[in-house]
Amino acid sequence: MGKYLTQRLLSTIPVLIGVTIAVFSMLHLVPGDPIQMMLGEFQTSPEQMAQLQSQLHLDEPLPQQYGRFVTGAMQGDLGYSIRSKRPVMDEIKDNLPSTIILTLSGLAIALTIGLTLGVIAAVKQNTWVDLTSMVVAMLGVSMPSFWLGLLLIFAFSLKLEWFPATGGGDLRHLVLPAMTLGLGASAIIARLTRSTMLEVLNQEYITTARAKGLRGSVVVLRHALRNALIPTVTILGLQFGQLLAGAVVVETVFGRPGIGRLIVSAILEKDFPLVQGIVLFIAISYVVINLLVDLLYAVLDPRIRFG
Amino acid sequence: MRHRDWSDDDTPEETRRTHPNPKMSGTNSRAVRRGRVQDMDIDTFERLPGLGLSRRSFMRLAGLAATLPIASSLLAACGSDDEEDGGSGTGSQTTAAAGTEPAGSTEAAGGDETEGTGGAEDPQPGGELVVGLDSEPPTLDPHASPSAVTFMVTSSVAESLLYLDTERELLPWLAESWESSDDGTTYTFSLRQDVTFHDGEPFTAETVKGNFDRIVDPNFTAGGALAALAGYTGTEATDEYTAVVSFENAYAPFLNYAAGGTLGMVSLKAVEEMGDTFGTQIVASGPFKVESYTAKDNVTIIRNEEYNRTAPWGTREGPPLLEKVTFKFIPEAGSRVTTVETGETQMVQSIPSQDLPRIEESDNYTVSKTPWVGVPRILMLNTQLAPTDDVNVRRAVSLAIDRQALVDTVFAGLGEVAIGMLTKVMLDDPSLSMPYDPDQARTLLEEAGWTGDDGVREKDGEQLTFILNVVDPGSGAPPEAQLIQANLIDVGFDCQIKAQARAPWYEDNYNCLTHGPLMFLRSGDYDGLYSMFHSSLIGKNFNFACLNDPDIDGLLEQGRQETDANARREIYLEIEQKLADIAAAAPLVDEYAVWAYRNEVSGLAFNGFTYPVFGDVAMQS
Amino acid sequence: MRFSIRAFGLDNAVAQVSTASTAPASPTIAAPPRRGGFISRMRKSKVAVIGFVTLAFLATVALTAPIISPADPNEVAPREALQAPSTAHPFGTDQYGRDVLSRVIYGTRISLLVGFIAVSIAVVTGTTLGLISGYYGRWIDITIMRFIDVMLAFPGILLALALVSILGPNLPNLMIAVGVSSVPSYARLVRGSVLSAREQVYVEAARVIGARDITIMRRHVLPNVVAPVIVVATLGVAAAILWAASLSFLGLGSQPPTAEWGRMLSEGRNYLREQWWIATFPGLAIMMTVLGMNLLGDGLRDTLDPRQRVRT
Repeated sequence: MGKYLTQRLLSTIPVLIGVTIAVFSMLHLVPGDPIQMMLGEFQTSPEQMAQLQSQLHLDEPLPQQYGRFVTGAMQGDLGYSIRSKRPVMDEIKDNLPSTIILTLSGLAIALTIGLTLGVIAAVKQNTWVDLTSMVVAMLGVSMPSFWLGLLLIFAFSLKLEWFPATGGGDLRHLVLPAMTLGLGASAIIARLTRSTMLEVLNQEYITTARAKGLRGSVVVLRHALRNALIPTVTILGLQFGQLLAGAVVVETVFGRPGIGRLIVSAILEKDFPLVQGIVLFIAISYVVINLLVDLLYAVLDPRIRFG
Repeated sequence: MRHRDWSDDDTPEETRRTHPNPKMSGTNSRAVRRGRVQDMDIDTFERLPGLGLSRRSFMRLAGLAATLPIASSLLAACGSDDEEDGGSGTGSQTTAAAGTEPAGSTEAAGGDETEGTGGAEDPQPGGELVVGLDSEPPTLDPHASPSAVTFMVTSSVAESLLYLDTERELLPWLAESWESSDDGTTYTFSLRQDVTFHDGEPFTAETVKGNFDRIVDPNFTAGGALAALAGYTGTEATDEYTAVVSFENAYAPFLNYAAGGTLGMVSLKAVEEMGDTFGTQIVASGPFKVESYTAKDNVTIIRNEEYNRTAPWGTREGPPLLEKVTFKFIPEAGSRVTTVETGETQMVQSIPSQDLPRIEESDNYTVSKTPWVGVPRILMLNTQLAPTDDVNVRRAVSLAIDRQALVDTVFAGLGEVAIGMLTKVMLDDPSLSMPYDPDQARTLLEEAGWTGDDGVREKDGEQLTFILNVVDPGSGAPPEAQLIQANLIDVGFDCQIKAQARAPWYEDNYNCLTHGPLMFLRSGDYDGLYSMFHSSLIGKNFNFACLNDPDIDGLLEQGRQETDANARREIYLEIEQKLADIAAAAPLVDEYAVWAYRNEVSGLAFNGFTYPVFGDVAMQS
Repeated sequence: MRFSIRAFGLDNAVAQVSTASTAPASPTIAAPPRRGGFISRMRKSKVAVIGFVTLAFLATVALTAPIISPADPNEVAPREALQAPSTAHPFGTDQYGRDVLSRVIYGTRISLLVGFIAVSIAVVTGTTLGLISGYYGRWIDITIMRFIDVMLAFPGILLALALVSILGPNLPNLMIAVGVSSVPSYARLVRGSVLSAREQVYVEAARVIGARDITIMRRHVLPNVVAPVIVVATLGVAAAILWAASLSFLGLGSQPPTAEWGRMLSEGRNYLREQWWIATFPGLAIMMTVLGMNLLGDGLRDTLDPRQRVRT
């Protein structure tokens, strides 16, 4: 276990370094001068360009700039937004809670609906319940999230007026966005749960348990589900990332404040330092989360530890 | 790329700002003055002679008269769609003294219900009003903002020397009395002695000096305020409460500007202390003060308990009734309308054409529509970038656009066909018109050498490209963009829509990089044309046509200094004709400023610039 | 070899299109399917049939767009704006009077094109990287896989967003962005297959004989890689179409007046209340296309590699 742990941790470091390099080069890989790109292509006098260059340390050799970038990032300094002139970290801090709440709510909905649906479908395999569930799940997987969002707005906001269509802040504003995010993910989880449950249900130890006379539901819940949950847990980490990415679209559809909407508007406003900072932040968070999930996975399934 | 030519001595060249952010600029020494003199509220509006007009025009003009007091200059240029000036016209045109009473009748120009919302039983203090704006102001700092949206908020927060009411009367505000010298170059203001800012600082003649000096300071990126002080040579505080403002030349519009939001008075101490963050939380002297600003979400103002005067728009003395006004930024039109229907907001700006009938027909709301003053929704044509540097190509563009179609669809109920560079309610004349003639457009293009009747025209191997530059405030490109695009494609242009956020949109325009910025300008005075077409304002103000025409320059300068109303009108007619002739721009639609508010909102008033003022508003149950 | 779930290269396929089989199934080599049995097995899988039929239908629509489309998708007719579905306009007209049906039909072209090109970019790049990495091993392998790991550090749409922000919003850049973002799945998948294949005796034998690397790769390794790649690619097209539509919806993809489904949805949003058809039909089209590709992918997987079957 310890070996796996260290191995896993060590392998994360080059990834993190790679991520910082990749994000750092975002500005520099772009054809054209980064200053021009930031200032929007207008003709500046040489003195002004020089002044801006030295101010942003762009006249230093690349490795030095990179070093500055990384040390800054480690201290929480991700640069300044061109448009709002505030530190990128402040912008992220303002918007992150809303996105986290949305993502977690979505995840909760996805797990609740997905697991339930998957288990039921597996247990009632090949009945109409199973078939309907899987058809619905298939539709859910194929449905674009922004379309689902618009449909929900149409039904529950415009026609029924139960929930507000845009904005953030309170629980009422959370419902529709979380549903949009969660329903899509629940389809994925439902299908996965169903198939793993089926695999497990047909394994010998289940038959053994049944032969021993344990009640069906006990069998299902205690033995099958726990084992079937392992892949689901694994997927959780990935799903969290997917949901985070999905939040980009959902927040835009619902006009809800958050990191997703922040990065989209940053791109539209050509606020590259902000885009860069957010991308870095999300990528690193994602790596860390996946690391934790892998470790969790190792705890759950002893087979994995020895690799 | 063009090298900019700074021909105007008043605008010394500066080192470029390091961060091209027109929004937040305090006394940041890094701030470079780009001469971003946008959005001035030039409310220098002469009285229109109401002669020989049809009843409809007269009613409109009368309505306009009520809402266009001569006064401060808040030129609000808006880049397409929701920029600046979301348009706030209350319909209190025909009621006299609308500035002194709660806005009772709301007869909109479009002919709306005349429901009286004001003058109800004794309004009780307290309550909160939520207003839905169609875009976010780039800054709250009145001196720095080129955007009219700012003044939706600051009209109740910051006070100016004078006040322009809906009758186009200049009323005293921070100045008790004023006079101008005979030659029109000096203005003397006697100030009130009982004014303090929200932070406790006293208001004196030195404050006036400091405010004006700040605006013209080369290190400060001023917005529309700068054009309001064109030719400013300085202010002298002859005693503690007397300020003498001097200009280089006779400057007739100044009193109107002095009543405008761009020349609102702010606390200099706060400016110094807050630096860059001043723009998010201005400190001024009005009946409301800024409580908080949440980026991309809302700005909230609260009652100033210390306010002990009578605001010029009302008769009540003391602090306002409302406890709080929250301005939410909802660029997505459909959502914005929904919020007023569900009660999430009680007042919204700019209803899109597809939702307008539903709102107007309902008894729950009052819709006020006021024809815009200033420059209509207009497509500026870059006179320095090929192919629009060719006057025939520009004429073709103007002829190719079906304005009636715009008014029938996207602007249904929201405007009328434009006839000239200034809106009809400002300057109307039978000789002005903007015809729709795509065949003639094609002929002009052919003659100019752009051949190829099918598809995109070409000349010497080059394609006839036209980049239409529009602002996307977060809800997508404005709907008229694609109609214009289709019109242009129809006559052989390869028209591409470049929809971007406000800041990069300005960048492109200052640098004359696209062929057609789509915008509008709100101005109370003919002089608005100066900031749009005078060559000294290329790259800084609204001269997005990058026009450098000495004839037009001369006429614009002349118009600025002419005091006789009729002579002035003639000058501007001539300017209109000339501009139309060289097709420096293609005016599209004379729009209405539209506000809708629920019945529980009473006491709503609008100032002479059609910005809402909330001092007397009460929420009724 | 790390036993992390992601090492099996199925994570992205799972996450993106979530037609997960039990994890971790190994991307082992299915026995190269006998030619004769393939088609008949495909036909037996209902899912595959539905998927294939849908795809065929869509491809036909895309190819014959100019013929079957009742109107020019970009022709504006302002006076016919916002009309409800009728015989003249089965899907109604949008805010500019354009026929929605025609726009949806032409949108098929764009979506299928974007999907296939993006995936092609991903397949070619990913397969090459995976082959090199898996075959040559050692430090080449480590370097390439680290590089892939870095790409995987960006969840879902984020990498595509970042790329589009750099390159600029238009359709070709969209294809590149989505394509590049999808590379990791294929690289991992192919690498896994190659690693397994490399152990096989016949590869050893070939090397002993002295066959050139490229020949070995082409003749022995590649055929075993083809099957899983096809499956993932089919599902990948579905994902690519979804991503492209999402990015266009956000305003970062196709530009007006292009009739692209995602953009149509974004424009139709403002008219949702009364003129629901503007946004509804493009959305249905997206769903149908993605569903078809997903079904086809599922069916292909069931047919080509029974070990990965989702139990039905």
